[in-house]
Amino acid sequence: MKLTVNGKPMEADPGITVEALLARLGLPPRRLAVAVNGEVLPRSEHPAQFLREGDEIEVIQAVAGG
Amino acid sequence: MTESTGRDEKLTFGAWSFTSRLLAGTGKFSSPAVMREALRESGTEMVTVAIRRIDLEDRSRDSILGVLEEGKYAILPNTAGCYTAKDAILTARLAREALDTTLVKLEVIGDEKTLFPDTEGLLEAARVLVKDGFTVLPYTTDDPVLARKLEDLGCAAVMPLAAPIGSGLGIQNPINILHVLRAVEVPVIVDAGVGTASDAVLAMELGCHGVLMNTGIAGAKDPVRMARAMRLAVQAGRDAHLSGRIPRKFYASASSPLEGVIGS
Repeated sequence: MKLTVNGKPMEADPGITVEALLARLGLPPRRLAVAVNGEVLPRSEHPAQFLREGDEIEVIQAVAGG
Repeated sequence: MTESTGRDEKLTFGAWSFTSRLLAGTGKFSSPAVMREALRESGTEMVTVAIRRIDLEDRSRDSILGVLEEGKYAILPNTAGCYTAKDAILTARLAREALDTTLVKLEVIGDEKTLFPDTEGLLEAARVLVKDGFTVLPYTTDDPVLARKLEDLGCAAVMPLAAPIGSGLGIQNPINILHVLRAVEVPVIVDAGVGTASDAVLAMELGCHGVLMNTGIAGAKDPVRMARAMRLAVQAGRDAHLSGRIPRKFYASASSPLEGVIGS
C-alpha cells in the first residue's frame, strides 16, 4: 500500500504498524515524534497503530535552531 | 550569576525558573564544539531548538539533543518556519511528544523578508496551545496591544522582537518596548535583533526580564567570546535597571567638593 512519509511516497506492507515502519526506516523511537494525518501519535500507541492506504506520516526530531 | 553582588528574583515561566536571563538559540554555529562552548560561556540555562522532519535519506543529521550536554539546559522548542496557526499547533504538539516538555516558543510567521509574526495566526495558535496545557512563550511584534492580548490568553511571557530576526540591528524602538513592559505583568523577553553586547544591555536597562539571542552569538567571529560578552551585558543591564539610574540633566554637576579649592 502507498503511504506518504515526510512528504515522500513510500510502499509498505498492508497492516504495518507505526512501530514497524519506524524500525524499517531504522529510526529508534527515542527523541522523535510521529503524526499521522495531522494528529500526533503518542509513543505508547506506536505498536498498536496500524497504518492505512494513503496515510500521511510525519516523523520529526529536534534540530539546531533559534 | 556569580558576578551579581545583589539578590535578584528568578526569571519564571509557568513552572520553570531560571537564574540566567539569557536565553540562547542553537542555530548557525560553525560546529557542535563551538556551540557547546559558547552556550557554556553564555551562562544560559535555556536553549531553543527547531522541529524538523527527519531526513530519511541522510541520517547523518542527528537530533540536536545528542549534541547538547544532556540535562544541562531546559529545552525550548520553537515553531520557526510555520506560516499558519495550524502548522504551529501541530509543530508544538510534536515537540511536546519528542521532547517531553510543555514549553514552546510560539512563532507564526507572516512575511518572508522580515520574518515578522502573523499576529492573527499567533493569537489563534496561542489560544489553542494554552488551553492544551502548553507554557507558551510567543514571539511577537513590539506592540503593547498585542502583548496584552497574549497575556490575557494565558501566555507565560511575551517576546517582542527588537529588530528582524538575524538582523543585528539592535533595539529599533525602545519606546515600544517600554510600552510593552507597561502593558503586561508576565516577563518580557526581547527576542530577535540583538547584534552586540550594548543591545542586550539596553534591553535589560529598559526593564526587560531577559533576552533571547542566537545569531548575535553564533554569527560573531569569535562566538565563545561574544557569548561571554552577552552574559556580562545581560547581567550589567539587569543590575543597572535594578539600581535605578540617575536622571539626565542638561548641565554639569561637580563630583568633587566645591569648597577648599586652592587659590580661592
